[in-house]
Amino acid sequence: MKNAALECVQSWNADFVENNLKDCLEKLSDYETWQKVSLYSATHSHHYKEGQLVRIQGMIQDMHNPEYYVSKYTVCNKATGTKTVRSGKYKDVMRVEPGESARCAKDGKDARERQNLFCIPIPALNKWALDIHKQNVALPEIHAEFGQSQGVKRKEMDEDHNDEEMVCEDSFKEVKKTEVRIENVAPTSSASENQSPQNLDDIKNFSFPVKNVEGQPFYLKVYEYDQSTVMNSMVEVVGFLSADPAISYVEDDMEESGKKLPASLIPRLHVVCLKNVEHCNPLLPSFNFSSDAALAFANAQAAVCDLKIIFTPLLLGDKLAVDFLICNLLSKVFVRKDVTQLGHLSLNLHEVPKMTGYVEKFYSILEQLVTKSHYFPLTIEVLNSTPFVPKKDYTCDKLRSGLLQLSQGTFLVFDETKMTVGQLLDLGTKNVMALKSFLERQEVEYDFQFYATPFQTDLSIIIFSERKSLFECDARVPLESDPEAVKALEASFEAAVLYLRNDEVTTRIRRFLTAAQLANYEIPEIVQTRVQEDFVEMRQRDKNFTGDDLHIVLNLARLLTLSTGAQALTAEIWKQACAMEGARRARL
Amino acid sequence: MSSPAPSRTPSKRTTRSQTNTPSRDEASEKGTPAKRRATPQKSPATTPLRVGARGRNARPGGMGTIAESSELGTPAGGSQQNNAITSPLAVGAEHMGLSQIDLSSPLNYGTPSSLGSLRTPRTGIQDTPVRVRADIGSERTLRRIVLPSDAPAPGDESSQTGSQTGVKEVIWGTDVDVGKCKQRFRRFIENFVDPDMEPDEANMATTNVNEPLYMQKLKEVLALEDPYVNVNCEHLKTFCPELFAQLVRYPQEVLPFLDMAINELFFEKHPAAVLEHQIQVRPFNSEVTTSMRNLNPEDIDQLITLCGMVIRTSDIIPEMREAFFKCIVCGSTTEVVVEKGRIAEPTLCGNCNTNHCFTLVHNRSQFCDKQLVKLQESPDDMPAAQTPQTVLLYCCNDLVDKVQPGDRVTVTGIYRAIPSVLNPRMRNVRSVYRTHIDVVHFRKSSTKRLYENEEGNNLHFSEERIGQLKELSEKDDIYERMAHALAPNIYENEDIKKGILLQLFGGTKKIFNSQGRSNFRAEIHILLCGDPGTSKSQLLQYVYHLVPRAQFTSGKGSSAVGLSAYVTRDPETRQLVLQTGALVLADNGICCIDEFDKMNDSTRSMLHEVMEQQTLSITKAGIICQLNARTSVLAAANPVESQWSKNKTIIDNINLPHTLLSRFDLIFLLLDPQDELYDRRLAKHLVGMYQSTPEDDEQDYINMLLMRDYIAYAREFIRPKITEEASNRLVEMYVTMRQTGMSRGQISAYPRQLESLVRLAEAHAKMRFSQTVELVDAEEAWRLHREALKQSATDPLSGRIDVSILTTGISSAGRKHREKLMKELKKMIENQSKGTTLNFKKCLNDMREKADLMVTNEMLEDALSSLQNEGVVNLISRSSFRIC
Repeated sequence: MKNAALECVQSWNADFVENNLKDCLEKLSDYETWQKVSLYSATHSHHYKEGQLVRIQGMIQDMHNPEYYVSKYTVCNKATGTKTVRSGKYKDVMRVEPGESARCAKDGKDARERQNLFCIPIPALNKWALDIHKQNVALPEIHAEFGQSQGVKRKEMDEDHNDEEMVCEDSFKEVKKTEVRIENVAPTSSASENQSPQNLDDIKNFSFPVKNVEGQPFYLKVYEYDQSTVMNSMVEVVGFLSADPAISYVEDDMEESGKKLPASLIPRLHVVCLKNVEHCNPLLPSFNFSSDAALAFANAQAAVCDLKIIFTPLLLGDKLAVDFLICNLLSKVFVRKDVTQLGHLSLNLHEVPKMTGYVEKFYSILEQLVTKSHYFPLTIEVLNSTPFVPKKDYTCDKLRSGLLQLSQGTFLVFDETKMTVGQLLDLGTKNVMALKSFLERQEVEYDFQFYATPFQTDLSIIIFSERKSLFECDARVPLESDPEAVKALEASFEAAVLYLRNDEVTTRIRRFLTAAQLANYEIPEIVQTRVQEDFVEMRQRDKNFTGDDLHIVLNLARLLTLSTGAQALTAEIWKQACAMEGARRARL
Repeated sequence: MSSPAPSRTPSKRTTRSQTNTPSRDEASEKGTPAKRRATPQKSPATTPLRVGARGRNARPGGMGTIAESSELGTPAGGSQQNNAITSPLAVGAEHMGLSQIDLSSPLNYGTPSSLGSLRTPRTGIQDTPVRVRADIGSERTLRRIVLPSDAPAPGDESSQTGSQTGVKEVIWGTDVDVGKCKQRFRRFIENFVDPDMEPDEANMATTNVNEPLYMQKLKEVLALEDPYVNVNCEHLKTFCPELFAQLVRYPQEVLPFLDMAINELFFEKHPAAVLEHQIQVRPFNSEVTTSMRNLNPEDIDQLITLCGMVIRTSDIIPEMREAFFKCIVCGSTTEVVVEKGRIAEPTLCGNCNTNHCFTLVHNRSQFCDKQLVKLQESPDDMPAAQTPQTVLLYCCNDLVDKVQPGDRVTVTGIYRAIPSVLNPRMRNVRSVYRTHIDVVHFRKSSTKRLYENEEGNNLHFSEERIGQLKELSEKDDIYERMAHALAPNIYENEDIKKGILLQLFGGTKKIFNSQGRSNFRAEIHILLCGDPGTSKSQLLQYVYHLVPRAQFTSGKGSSAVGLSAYVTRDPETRQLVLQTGALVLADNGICCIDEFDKMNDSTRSMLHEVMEQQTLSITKAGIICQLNARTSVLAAANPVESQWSKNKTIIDNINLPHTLLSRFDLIFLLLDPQDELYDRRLAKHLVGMYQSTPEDDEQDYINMLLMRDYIAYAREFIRPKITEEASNRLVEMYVTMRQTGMSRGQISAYPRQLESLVRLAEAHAKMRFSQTVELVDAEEAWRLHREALKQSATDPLSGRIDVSILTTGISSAGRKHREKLMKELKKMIENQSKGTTLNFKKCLNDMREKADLMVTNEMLEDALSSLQNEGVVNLISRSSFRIC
């Protein structure tokens, strides 16, 4: 009976999970079961019941203070005098029926701690990925299933628990139903039907690093918190939804008011299981994906070939630039030791053609391939008005997000061709400094007003500019244009769009890019010696060739290796990397 | 701790467990009216020591009431009533006021005024009021159980810990024996001697270390009329671990008795004393928690100590403690104590039996100051990639406005969790506790405190950790290990790492105030100068991340004000405020300055004072002050032509004024060795980093955290003194240094260099955790000093090490060189007639031909300008000069 209940993930409720936590978690570690939990969709929020188990994907944007909740409380029915002990886990409110009074230990003996995380939809997630997510939301079915499963669960409860609790269970459902009705009229409509859209927009403006993102932010209540989920982690969460409007009002008048937004606006999710995920590409499983990744990785050559076909004409026939671009697409910080970070390859492509909207068009192609990306025109006005660095706002006790608070592996495309003459104001200067130090150290110093704290950040940056960029990148490549290609540029864009209509191609590329970013890499002994010898030789030829330059070549070698679908460096690729870097240096 | 029904008035509250003493029940039945009826008749003063209620429940003419309530409260153990010494029978309520009756007190505390004051009748006119304590809890009622030895414990409400003869009182729900508790504390006060008292605990210079510390504090209380006694829990722990444990576990219950005990003691000693209010005990340094992140539900209602940074303070909130109601019909009045922020308005007037006739009289109600303070984790306690947490503090009365946003404080208080109020109108209640800390003690890391103590107060190493550190320090190769662990990703440069390591430890601070010189700095300054791409910036970055109070600036972007301080107008208050810059912020830390050479001269000149005097004088917008800037400077500079030119002196290469250069203890050159073997090893090192599975020899490896603790521990606890042997050696070295210069007729070493040697030797000793500076330390200092100078002060012409290159900017070989050049010049000038104008370029070529010397533009300019000083030539422009 219990097993049957376990199987039916949709039917789990708070008490059941609390009593069978171990079994439930084990069940959830299986990706298929995991996927059975319905994915939350903001546009269909009215389909979800209070207390329903849902799954969300997001990024931790802020971490609030942990809170203490009442783990157990006694409810006394005034009429019958019967006392019941109820659990407060996975719930926001104590359940007290009319004619009952609740009591919890005054001295906090039954207080337990739970972590409070603020989770926003993954910022800069591209449209294609969102669309796939939307397809995964299968609402009507879930609805039916939820209703049916009640019976199963009730039976289950009968067997495993005493009658008393059974009674609670029934009344609980009744109450919840009425409440859900209330809540559905007011809050959800406010979010979706513009009754008071001001609020949700404000939240988005405030907490989202990238504006105009659809999706629902959540407060996560994490019961078993192990320090691994940190700021800007991408997470996938299964938990109980709680959007009860009753939650928001009983705040302390003095300090707390106005800080916690009503649950109707930002639902709470009582977390059963939280997983840190390394990527959010919907074409690959979010965890246990090694076999799928291997498959995608095996397609490397075809994928890279596609990429070259697409990008070579767009980069004016400049093969070297395309190679660097592909390397950039695969780059990811893979080692951080004290102050050294390896693996990043920020790219500055300059001498771009003077075609209006070139960078935008280029970006529109790029965003169809990578999972997360954002286009940012570097104009004086935007620099002066958009904060890059997250800043703590103590009046509302929240972290105001900034552009550089993006999750790991996001592509940030800066368009410096938009830059005009003007004066950078305070914010603009800070932004420029922040971006500079980010390019140097892959780290963003969040402003906590009394002090700044560095947060490790891993973003791939491409800067397009007319001349050498204002910002120092790892690799600067002046485009060498083929006059033919310049003439055909318009046509090339159209061709690229057409080429990407082929689902097979796009899927192949998308899967490959994610898989390659996460792949392991090694340098065999024999190649290591080769590298050392080459370095000595290069030093003798050119005294200005320093250890930092070797880093760039080594990193290129790594990315080139991955782009061939291999995971170990070969002498040949090493040579190729040297040649690539040599050709680039020759252009400067 | 459940409290009696909320509507009860204070006197009722003096009852404890409802179960076993009938008279108590009677008392509670009497309820308000009974109390109200009470008239100021003095209760028969069986002893002069009778105590009235303290605190807010005192009402005008409340003396009698109290007496009455004490009568009511105590009858249960009628026998105990006479037991004046063991303890008060009535239980004090604890809150703003201790509404308790204490027969054992030597004082007869009356309650004459509505302000909750308490008088000491025996002193006649003078009196000391009892001010209620708002800081230790919202429970008005303390329930105590009186346990006659022959009576079994009344049910399970109390845990009796073995019976004693006579009577024993325990605090409800605990095994805290009231009498014992008081006695112990009294003994502690009377007897505790602390040989190594921390300086900030001694308010007066006169504190005698060998006398009981807290008795002296009581004298201070008398002298200063500041009725607070701060009790270091560490002391209590060593003196009486049991009492300490009780205090930490039940602070709210135990503190009132400590108060009581200390007051009794004080007024026994100083019967004529008059204080603003009764003495309050403020414990601090309870070691329960040190990090906000470690707070958990188990700490609720315990005495905890936390450090953090104040980020917000609220306005002062007048919080009602006792509401005063008046019946609009008959004019009778009543008071209601505010319980958990709520006032239970009396509905029925006991006098005229009217319903709903009471109005609140504001100006006769009692209020106390309250302030909400938000405390945030300080950045050093924060785990990586998480946001800081905050806790809410409630401070009352004189603790209000003690702290300002931005202060780093250590707070001792009682951790509270309050369940959301159950509102009868609401069916669903948030099942979340609100938490805060009721502050009993603030300790600020203030600038007034001596340098050595400042950091240490936040340092809490576990025994285990200390053991680990000590074990590490005993390793023979600790120096190499640490140097190796410093920025392990930066290749080789061992000596530079060693230098930086010593900088991190710093020397010993020496104070010579009495001799007129303020002090010798303990901070070691280091300049790294070298070719681009030699990981100077990485070294700086590493240090910046390693040291808790480090600042990182770039010479390019900084201005003098950015480094020192500037004055702005605060947007809120419109007042001028001083904003401190990087150097001040790095006080007691390290200021890393990259691109030192790109810094403009005016900015750099400001460093002179900071680097030697370690202070920063500011005169701006009417603000004249001197700030402490006890910072070590770690600077990195590129050579003038960005590449090091081997045939130039360091002065020419760095192009920094030598006044500044001589302030650096160590100047390291990071030159590109351009050596095949080196390149090979470097390549190997770099390639190794790209392996997905880096070979880790973790056990040998000292990680950043361990290193940070090691350094912090050494800085805090190790103060090496120089031994005879070492000092002789240092003197010897200095003499050698002087003599090397002397032989060529020049002073080549200045006392500054000797100071540097001493500092380096001390730092090396610190690194070994050695309390004495021994020969090895001196030798290493000497070696490093030479090593650094060998690279930086190697005369490009003679190849010799020469300190004078730093102090005068010209090497002695260069000086000879210049003399020769001058001679040649003079010779040439003599051949020309006066008034002739010579071309600079031509002259340069002539010189190069004539003297078989290497003559650069600068050298010639230099020589000419000294000739101009001698009045031989007159420089007209950059390209020509005239012979006078």
